[in-house]
Amino acid sequence: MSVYEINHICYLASHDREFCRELRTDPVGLLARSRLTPEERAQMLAGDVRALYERGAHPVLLVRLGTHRLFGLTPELYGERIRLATRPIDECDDGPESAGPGAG
Amino acid sequence: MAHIVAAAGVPHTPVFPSLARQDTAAGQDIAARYEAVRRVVAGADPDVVVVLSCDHINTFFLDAWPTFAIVAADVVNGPNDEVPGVATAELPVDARVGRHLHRQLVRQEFDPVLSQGCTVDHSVVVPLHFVNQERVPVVPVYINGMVGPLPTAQRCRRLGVAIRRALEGLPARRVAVVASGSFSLEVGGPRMDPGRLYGVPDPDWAARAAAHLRAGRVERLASEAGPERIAHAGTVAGEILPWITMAEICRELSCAVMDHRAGEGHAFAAWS
Repeated sequence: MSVYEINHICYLASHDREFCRELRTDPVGLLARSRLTPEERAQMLAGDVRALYERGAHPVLLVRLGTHRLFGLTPELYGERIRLATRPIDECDDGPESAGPGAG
Repeated sequence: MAHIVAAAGVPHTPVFPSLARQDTAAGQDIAARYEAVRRVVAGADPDVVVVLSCDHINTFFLDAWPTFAIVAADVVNGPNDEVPGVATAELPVDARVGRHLHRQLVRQEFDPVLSQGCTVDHSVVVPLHFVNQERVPVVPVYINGMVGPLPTAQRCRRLGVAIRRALEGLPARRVAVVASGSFSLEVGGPRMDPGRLYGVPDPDWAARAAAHLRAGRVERLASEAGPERIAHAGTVAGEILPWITMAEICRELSCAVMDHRAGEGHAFAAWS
C-alpha cells in the first residue's frame, strides 16, 4: 500500500492551488498518474475516507479532503464517514509508543 | 544574562481570531480570555518571544519530519494554511536568538533541525495574533506532537531544561515563552463530535493537565502524559508537549492566569 502517496495528495490539495484545481476538474486523470494502488485510487475517488484512514492515512491530512470539498465530500459528510472508522493497523505497531499517524 | 520574564499557553483554533472580532457574547468571551494572557506577557515587556508549537504537517511534510526544529530564518511568513480573517504576512523573527538556541541545544546533546527558510501555520500565527500585538521578534520552536512516535513528555521536559539554560546564556534579553495547543483534541479522526470537525475525547485529562500546570507540578504532568494517555486524548493531543516544555522553562515563575473550563480540551494560561 502507498499511505505516503495518500498523505501527499492530501497535503498538496491544501498547499498547491493548481493541484487542488486539477483534483476538482480531472480527479480520475490526476489520480491515474499517482502511485496509488487501484484499490486506493478507487477509495479516494469515492471519498471513502473511512477506508483511507484505516489504511493509515493521517487524520490531520485526510480531513483536508473534506474541508476542500474534494471527491464529493463536504465537511459534514467527512465527519459522518470518519466516525465509522476504527484505529488503523500498523504492521510495525508494538504499542502506543509507535502509534501511527496522529498518534491516535 | 537573559531573563525569562513571562510565559503563556493558549489554544490556536483557527477560527478564534475571526470569532474574537464578532460583537457577540462568544466573540467577547474569547477575546477576553486571550486578552488576560496578553496583558501578562506584554506587562513583562519582553524583547523576544519563543513560541513552542506543533506543526500540523504544513511547514514540514512526511518526506523529512522533525522531532524538534528551530526556525532561525531572516524572514518568516504565515499562516501557510487557513486562518479566517488573518492574511498571510511577514512575522518578525529574531534569527540570532534562533541560531544561538540551536547551537546551545546541540551542545547539550539535543539535535533539532535548523530551518533558515520556512513558513509557519496557524499553530504559530494564532497565538501571536493575540498575545504578541506589539510584534516583538519571535523564535518558533517545533515539537512533534502530530506523527507517531512522539518524543516522550520526559524528554520534552529535559528539552525545557536545555532551552532555559540556552536562553539564560543570552546577553541581556527579556524572554517570553509561549506554548501553543490543546491537551485533548480530535481533529480529522473518528472521535469528532457529530456535526463538527473536532472533538474533545478526554476532557477529564484536560482538566487534570490544567490543574497540574496551575500548581507547578511539571514532573507529575510529564509522568502522566505517556503515549497511551496522549493517544486516548485525541489525534492532536500531542500538543500538550509544548506546554510541558514551556512549564519546565518557566518553572521559577508564578502562575498568574489559568483559565480552563470543564469540558474544554484547552486552557488560557500565563506566568510571570
